Amino acid sequence: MRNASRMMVLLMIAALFSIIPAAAAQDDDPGFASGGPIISSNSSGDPATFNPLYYGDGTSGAVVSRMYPSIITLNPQNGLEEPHLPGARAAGWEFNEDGTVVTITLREDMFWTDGTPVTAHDYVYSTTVVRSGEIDSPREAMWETLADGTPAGGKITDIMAVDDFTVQVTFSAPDCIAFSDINNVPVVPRAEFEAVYGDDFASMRDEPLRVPEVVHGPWFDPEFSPGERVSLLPVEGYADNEFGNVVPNEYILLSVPDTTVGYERFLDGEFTYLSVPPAFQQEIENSPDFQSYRFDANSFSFMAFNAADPADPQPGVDENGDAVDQGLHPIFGDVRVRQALGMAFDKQAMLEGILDGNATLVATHTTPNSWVYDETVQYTFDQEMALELLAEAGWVDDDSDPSTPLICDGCLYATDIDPDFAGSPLEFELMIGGGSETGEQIGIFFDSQMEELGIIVDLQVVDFNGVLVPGMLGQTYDMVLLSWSLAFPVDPDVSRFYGPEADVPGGGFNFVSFNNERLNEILEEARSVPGCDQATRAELYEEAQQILFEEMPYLYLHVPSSLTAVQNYVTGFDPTPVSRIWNEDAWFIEGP
Amino acid sequence: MMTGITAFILRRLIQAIPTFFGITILAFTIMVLAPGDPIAILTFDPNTKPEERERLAELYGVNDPLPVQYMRWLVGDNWRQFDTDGDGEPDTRGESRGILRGDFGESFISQRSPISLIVERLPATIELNIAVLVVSIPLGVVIGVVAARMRGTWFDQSSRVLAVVGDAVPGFWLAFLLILLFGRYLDLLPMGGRCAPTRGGCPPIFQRLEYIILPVAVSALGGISGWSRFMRASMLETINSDYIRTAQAKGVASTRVWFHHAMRNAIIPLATFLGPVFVSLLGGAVIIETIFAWPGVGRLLLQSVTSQDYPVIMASVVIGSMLTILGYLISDVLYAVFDPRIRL
Amino acid sequence: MATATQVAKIAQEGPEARPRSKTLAQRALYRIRRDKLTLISLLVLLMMAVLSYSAPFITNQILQTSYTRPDPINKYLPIGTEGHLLGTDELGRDHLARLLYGGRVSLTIGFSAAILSMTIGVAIGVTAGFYGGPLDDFIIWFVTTLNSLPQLFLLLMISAVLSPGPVSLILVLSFLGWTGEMRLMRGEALKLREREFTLAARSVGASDWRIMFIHIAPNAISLLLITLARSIGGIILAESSLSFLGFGIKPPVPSWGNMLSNGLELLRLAPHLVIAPGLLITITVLCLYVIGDGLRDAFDPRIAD
Repeated sequence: MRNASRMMVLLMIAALFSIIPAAAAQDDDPGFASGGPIISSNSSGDPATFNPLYYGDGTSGAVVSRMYPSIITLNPQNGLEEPHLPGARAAGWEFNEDGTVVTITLREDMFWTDGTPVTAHDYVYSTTVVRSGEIDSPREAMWETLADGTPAGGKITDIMAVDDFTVQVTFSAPDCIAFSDINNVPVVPRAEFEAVYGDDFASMRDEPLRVPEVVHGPWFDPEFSPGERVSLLPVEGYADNEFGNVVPNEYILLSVPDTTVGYERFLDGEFTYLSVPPAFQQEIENSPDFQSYRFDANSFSFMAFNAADPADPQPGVDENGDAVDQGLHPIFGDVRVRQALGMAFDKQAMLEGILDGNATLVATHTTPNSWVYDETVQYTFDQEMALELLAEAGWVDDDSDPSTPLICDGCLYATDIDPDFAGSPLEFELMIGGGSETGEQIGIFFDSQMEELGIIVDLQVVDFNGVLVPGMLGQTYDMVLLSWSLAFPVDPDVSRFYGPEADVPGGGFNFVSFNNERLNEILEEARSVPGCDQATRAELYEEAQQILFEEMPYLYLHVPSSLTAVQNYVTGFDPTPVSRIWNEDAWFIEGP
Repeated sequence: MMTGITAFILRRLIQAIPTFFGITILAFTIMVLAPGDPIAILTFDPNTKPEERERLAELYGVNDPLPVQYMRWLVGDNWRQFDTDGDGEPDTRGESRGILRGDFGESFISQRSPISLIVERLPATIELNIAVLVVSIPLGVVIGVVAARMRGTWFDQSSRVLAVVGDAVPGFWLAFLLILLFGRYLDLLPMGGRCAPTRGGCPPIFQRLEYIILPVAVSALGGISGWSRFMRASMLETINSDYIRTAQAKGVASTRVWFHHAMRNAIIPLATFLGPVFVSLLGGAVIIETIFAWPGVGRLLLQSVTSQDYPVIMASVVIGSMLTILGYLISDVLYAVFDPRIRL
Repeated sequence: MATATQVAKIAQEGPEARPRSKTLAQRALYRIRRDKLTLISLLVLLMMAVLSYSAPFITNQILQTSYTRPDPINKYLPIGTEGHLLGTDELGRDHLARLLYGGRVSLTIGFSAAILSMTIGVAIGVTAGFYGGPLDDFIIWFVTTLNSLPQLFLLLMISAVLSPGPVSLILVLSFLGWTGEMRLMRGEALKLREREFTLAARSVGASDWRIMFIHIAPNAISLLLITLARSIGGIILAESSLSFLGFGIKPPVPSWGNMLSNGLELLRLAPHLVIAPGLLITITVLCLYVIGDGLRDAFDPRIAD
């Protein structure tokens, strides 16, 4: 769809950050359900399910995470997993000496809406259902193997309840990243699920929109009207926020497929809050009618180079884990060409002209909110030097007329692949997913800048799902413009994007066929740092980022600056870079 | 007469069988030609392991040869056994019953049955389309008849121009401008949705008419212009026919000839249009439903096409086609019933 | 038995409009010359076409600008800015130049797709009607099948498959559009194949091909002309609707449709990006429809002069 901002591929849905240390209740504090409804607009589809164990789409996630918060809560101020945040199920945790077993202590004062306590057995039940493989949950990947022994790809080997309020999680090896997997599965009420489904876990799929009877969260009783909305009611007695009760009287997720109309409806006061489209950020910020909050998005845009031969895509490693000869891309197989394009593109002009200055330029796979981000790492814009690098790689301008294309005169890899390549112009295809306004504009701008140097960019705006994804994952493309949305907690591990195991045509996400031995070593080492000491890991990751900066598997572009706007009739809006709505259950809404 | 009609309907139903198979083949061909990869879309997440991707491909059977996929889609596979553990012995029974037995599989995106997804969206679409017909037919007929009667006058000319203008404006453009004008600046009408976002479902339609005014206004425009053009032509044809000339010659008052004799005859073919028009409206509301956030079938289809949700697309196409065939059948029957000159 | 839809179709297109002699054609020409509305529409359409097709000349020589080169510092300039008569778009490209180039794309799509689908329809229709038999049955089965599939569904599906550029869009729209003309020509061929002049031509040894396309096809020219005008308009509209749904011509190639749907999002920042392409589409389609109506009246034998 035109408006679906497909450039932003939501990789992971950040958990709901629900709790803040409870302030001393004051007399004039708003009472339970004393405020108006929170109305939020949703331009993607209907929720697929209210079952928190197997949902996969964002709309379901928005509903489910409000009824079944995760076991460990992230601190809304820094996005890190922290023990004993009020509202979290976990009161604390402790690793054993070799870092393979973590013992999590649960709070004893958390109750389901039927009055029974939230226990370790509930969590163990949730993870057991996922591990059974019977519900085809996307969360299976937290486990090393499924119940029937099928490898699932994760690191967790066992989860057990030591007592009612203690959970013990065992990993196959010490791993600094797998800890977050614990949060993949929320806690469900075992008693209700067992009563409804018995041993037949697969039957959970039969009635995906069953309204749960018992929840533990600020919201419950979802009412779904197809194509219109999902409505949730506040839970009376849910006490884990600033006021000791849920203040809004309803939460409504309203389906608004056209974002242009959606924006007008927000201006008209219909929705409580909105993530403002880039073109209108200035307008909102200057308007006295809204509260707004600007923050660095947890995502970045880039143009990926296919470094391997696009005519014959091969996996990075074979079944035995040995490296495979993947051939080289006639143009981008040469790192000098990639570096030259990085220097040739005037990103500052892009920032000012297209992004209205609302972004941060980056040159590595990090965002400003990461603990290894270094703002001084930037490409230099130098077209002269870019041309020199290209000439070194064999791409020359034969008649010194800047308007004619650069041609291959003994260029390293192109002639390697096809000796007849000599004399061919420096020409490649840049794929952009349709529907992303900013993406299309950057592509056109890049195209015109390359043209000035004699590089021919064949710009292809294509259907995201139909053409871009198959071409990119199939590794038959030249260059693709895309954006990754990252998740909290921010972790600098990048093996999913640049590791040889992830280089699988048709599926893996190392579709750039990047393979750097030193990088692989660093990433492996950083995952298993004893005790996950942040300083030691940071050092390793900084070197990793340096490698990515120099080798340029991607031409890294920018981290967009986002703007969230909230109506003036809302009191209690307390945004953080991690979440704008973490305390929404304490918002007091007077309008519209 | 009754047996005549029954035989006629039967004959038409039998004729519809090859059409139905043609539709399934055509729809299936287009879908498999699609370059996309639904499994890749389902697993577009760097956290997905290759094992998961293979399992899904196996689950949805996208690796089988095309004729096998077509046959399984059509007649199911629960009558054969498969070898799933690779020991050469068939061990597991297929699970699909095939579309001929009403099994359209399940949506790739929501894992729900395509039929139930379509059915839960139908009321909104039908409501909108009936409203459009209720507005556009009477208006179109009246304008058309008056224009024919006042042929060549200012009314005829301006109704013709207006009809053409109504047809020539891009619908989404007009819709957006109307939303801005009436919804945002004059603040007279809601800017989208089917009713106020309250729990317990939408109230009866007469309590929320303000929500349907704009979508109906935009979609009815084309209808009004079409119906009025049709009625004008039909009236002119009838008025020139022999029996009307005879009536006129016999001295029947001119107004009575026009509105009693001629109009009644001119309106017959119009009745026969209802079937196909209603059906075409069902599929044609994609834009209106999208821009007005109307919770209908059109949006479901658009979303399925964008996300390459094959089972839902196929179900919509097959059901849509069956409705179209039914629509044509109904109009042919109506035509035969209304017009005694047609022998069955 | 004629089906209701066929009857209705003929009624809609204008009944019994079949010129049989030169005098009818001459009379039609005479009538059009007196029909001011149709003449004005023709003139406007001609102007649009001339301006659009001289887009490169106008852009390079007169406006001295470029329709592709972004200049983001000068984006959203309003109408009347010096050097940019109709302002600039979201990338600072000259809006007038883009409208001209967009018109070239939209008009080309409209005319080519309409003419192509008419050619397909006439060829298949005449063949089916002339030969009859199993070939006719097969063609009728195929057409019924195609018509039973909801058109917009089909359009969306195919557009998603082809990720359209101008050429593939023309092919898709022609593939879906030819059935009306086909039915029309088939009926004509069925009726005329037993007529005296056909038999006479056959008796002097004329080939089937010659009879079909020299003797039979020209008899329906007036009907085809009327259909053509409306179908070009319909296709231009369809192109803009597809753009709105995200399945139209993809940027950076400009078309009126994608400029309009793209501009809608920016209405608050630059109203001219919405108003201009919307008006151009409306006016062009309006002219085509008026011409279609004018032709119908001109060829209508029942209307006295």
